[in-house]
Amino acid sequence: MSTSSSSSKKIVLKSADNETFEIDEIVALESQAIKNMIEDECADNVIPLGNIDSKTLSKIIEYCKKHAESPKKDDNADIDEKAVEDLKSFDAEFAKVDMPLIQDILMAANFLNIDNLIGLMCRTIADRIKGKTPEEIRKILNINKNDLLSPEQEAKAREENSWAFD
Amino acid sequence: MNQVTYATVTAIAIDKASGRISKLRRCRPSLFSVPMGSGIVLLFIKLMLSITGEELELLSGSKHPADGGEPIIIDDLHFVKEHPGVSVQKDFISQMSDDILVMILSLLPMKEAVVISILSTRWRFLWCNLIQLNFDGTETLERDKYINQVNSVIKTYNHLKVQDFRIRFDLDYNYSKCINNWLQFAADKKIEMLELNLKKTPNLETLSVHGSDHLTLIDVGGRYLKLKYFEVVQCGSVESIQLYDFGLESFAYEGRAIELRLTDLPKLQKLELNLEKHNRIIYDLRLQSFNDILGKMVCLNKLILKSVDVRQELLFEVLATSPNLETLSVHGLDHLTHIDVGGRYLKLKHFEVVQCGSVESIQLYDFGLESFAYEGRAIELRFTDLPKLKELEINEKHALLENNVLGQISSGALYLQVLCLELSRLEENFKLDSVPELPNVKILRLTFGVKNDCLLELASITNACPRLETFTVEQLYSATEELRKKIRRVVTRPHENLKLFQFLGYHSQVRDLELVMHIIYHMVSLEKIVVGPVRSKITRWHHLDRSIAKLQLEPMVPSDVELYESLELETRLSHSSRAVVRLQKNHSTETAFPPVLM
Repeated sequence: MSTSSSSSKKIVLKSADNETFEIDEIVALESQAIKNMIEDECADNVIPLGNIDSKTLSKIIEYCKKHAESPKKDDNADIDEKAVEDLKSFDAEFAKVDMPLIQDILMAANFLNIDNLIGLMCRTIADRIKGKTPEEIRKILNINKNDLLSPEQEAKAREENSWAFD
Repeated sequence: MNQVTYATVTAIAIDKASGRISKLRRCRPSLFSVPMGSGIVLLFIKLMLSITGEELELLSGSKHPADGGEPIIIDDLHFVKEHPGVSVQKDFISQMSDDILVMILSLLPMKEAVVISILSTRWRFLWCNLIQLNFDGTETLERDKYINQVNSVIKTYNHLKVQDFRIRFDLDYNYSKCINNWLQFAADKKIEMLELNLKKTPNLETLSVHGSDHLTLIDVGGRYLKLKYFEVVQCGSVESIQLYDFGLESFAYEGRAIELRLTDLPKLQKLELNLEKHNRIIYDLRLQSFNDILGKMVCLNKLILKSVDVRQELLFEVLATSPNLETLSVHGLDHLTHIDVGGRYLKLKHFEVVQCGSVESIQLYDFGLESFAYEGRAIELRFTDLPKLKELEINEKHALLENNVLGQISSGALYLQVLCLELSRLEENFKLDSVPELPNVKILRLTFGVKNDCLLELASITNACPRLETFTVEQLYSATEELRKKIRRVVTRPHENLKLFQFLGYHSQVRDLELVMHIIYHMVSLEKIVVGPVRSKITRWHHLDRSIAKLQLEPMVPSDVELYESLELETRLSHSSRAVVRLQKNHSTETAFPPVLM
C-alpha cells in the first residue's frame, strides 16, 4: 500500500518509439504488472514498454489517471453516485476510437494487467460484433484470410451446432 | 535449446530476493522487447499466472526454478520484432490469449458465441471455454428449439466448471425430465450461480442442491412457483437463503450456520435444519427471523432442528402456536435445560431429544404423545397421563446420575408397545428388581455396556411383559469371565408369546450361553434366535467369534427353533456374504441342553 509520501513518487515509462512518460506512482498502480514491479523494487529506473507505442500509451495513462482519481468502491461504501456516473461516461467516451486502437489498447492493457481496461475493451469489441454476420465480424476484426476454416471444417462446425445457424 | 521463440516466452518475473523465476505469462510477445545483450538477466515482470514445466523447458535449458535457487541467466535470447508497417492491418485476434477472446465471447448472446466458431481456426472451439452459460430464451422461439439449444450445448460442453448457468424460458412439467438433466449438469459442473426461471407454468416440484461450493445466495420466491420440496445440503459457501411467498411444503438445510429467512410459506409442513455445530455463529438476527418464520407456519407438522440456536422459550412457543405440529426433533440444542411439555391442546405425537447437553429434566404430561426418544446423559424423566404413548426409546450413555430409568417411566408404561433402552451402566440406571408392569410391550430392546456378574436376571424382565414378541439383548463390550461370580437363580415364568430372541454382542462366554439356554428353555413359543455383533460396530463380526458361536450354539438349539446370525451388518457390508449367513439347523438336541450350564 502506498503512503501519502510515496504517492508523490514518480514512475517513468518509455514507449516503443522512445517517448518517456512521467506519471505519479498512484496512477501507475492501476497496472497490476507495474504494481508488482514496484513491490519488487524493479521500477527504480525507466520502465521500457517495448511494443506499446506512444499513442497507445498516452491513452492508457489517460485512463489510469481518471480511474486512480476516482474513489474506489472498497474505500467508501457509499460513494457518490455521481462519481460512478462520471466514470461510466468517461469510459464510454474513452472507447469511442477506431478498431486498431482498441486492439492496441487491449493488448497493452493485457500486458500491463489493467483489469478494468481489459474489461472495457472486451465490452467494446463485443458491442461492435454483436448481431453481425461472421463475414462482417471477420472484417471488423481483420481476420487473416489464411486462418479461415476450410469448407469441410465449416460444414462440420455448422452441423455440430446446427441450432445456432437457423 | 538456447533460443526462445517469441510464441512461447513473453513475460517473466524474477524474484529479486531469491533470484528465482516466479511467474510467467503468455501474452503477445511483440509487446515485450527489452534491450538485449548476451549474458544479461533481463526479466522483471511479475504477472499473475503460474509457470508451467513445458514453458520453462524453452528457457535456455534452465532447471525448474522451484527446485534450485540459482538465478536464471538467459543467453542469446532472441525476440522476434514485429515489422513496423503491419500495425494497421494486423490480425491481432490470433495473438490474443484465450482468456481475452473468451471474455469477449461471454459478452455475446450464447447463440452468437457459438456462430463465431466458424469465424476462423482460432475461434473454432473457443466458445467451449465459456464458463457462463446463459440461455436467455426470452426473445426467442419455439420450445423445441430452445431445448435443443440447451441440450446440444450441454452435450458439446467439456469444461469442468460452469460459473454461471441461467435458464430462462417458459417450460412446463412435460419438460421436467429435461430440466432435471440440466440441473444435474449444473451440479456436475460445480456451478456458482444458478438461475432457473420458468415463466408462467413452472412446474418444477423438487429441487435439491448438493455440495456446491460456490453458491452464496439462494433467493427463491413468487406465487408462480410450484416448488414443493427444496433441499440445500452441504453447500459450504452459502451465506443466506431466502424463501418467500410460494407453496413450499418441505425445506431441508444441512451445513454451517447461515442467515435464513422464510416468509409467507403457508404450506410449509416440514422444516429440517441441520447445522454443523463447530461452525455455529450466533446471529440475533437469525433468531429473530426464525421466530417470525415459525409464527406464520400454520401447516407445519414436522420440525427438525439440529444444532440450531434456539432458546427454550421460543421452542415452547412454537409448540404452543403451531396447531399442526406432530413431529418435533431436536438435536444438539444447547439452550434447553428443563423440557416441560404438556396440555391437551398439543397435537404433538412424536418427540425426540438427542444430545442436548444442558438438559436436566424432561416432563411430559397430558397429551397424545405416541412416541418419545431421548439420547444423552442420565437425566430426570417424568411421564404422566400419556395414554397414547406406544414407543419409548431411552439412550443414556453417560450415566453421571444414579437414576432408575424403569422407575421413572413406570407411570407412562401402561400402553407402551415398543421399549428400547440403552444404558451404559446397568447396575446404576436400571433396577432389575423394580421392573414395572409392561402389559402391552411387544418389542423390547435392552442395550448395555457391561453387566457384571451373570446375565440371567435379564431374562426375568419377560415376566413383566406377558405380550412380548421380540426381545433383544445387546451387550456393547465383553466382560471378563471373572465378573461372573456366581449364578443367580432367577425365576422366569414360561412365556407364551415370545417368538424372536436376539442377542447382539454375543461373545460365546459361559454367561452369554447361559442366557440363550435359559431363554430357549423358558420361552415355549420361541421360533428364532439371532446372535451377532453389536449394531453400531463397523467391523464385521470376527470370523472366529462367528465360528465359536456356531459351534457352541448349534447343538443346543432345538429343532423347532431356528438359529440365525445377525443379518443387519452382513447386508450392509456385502450382498454376496448373505448366502453363508444362515446356519443349518442341527439334529434335535432337545434333551441335551440344560437350563443352566455348569
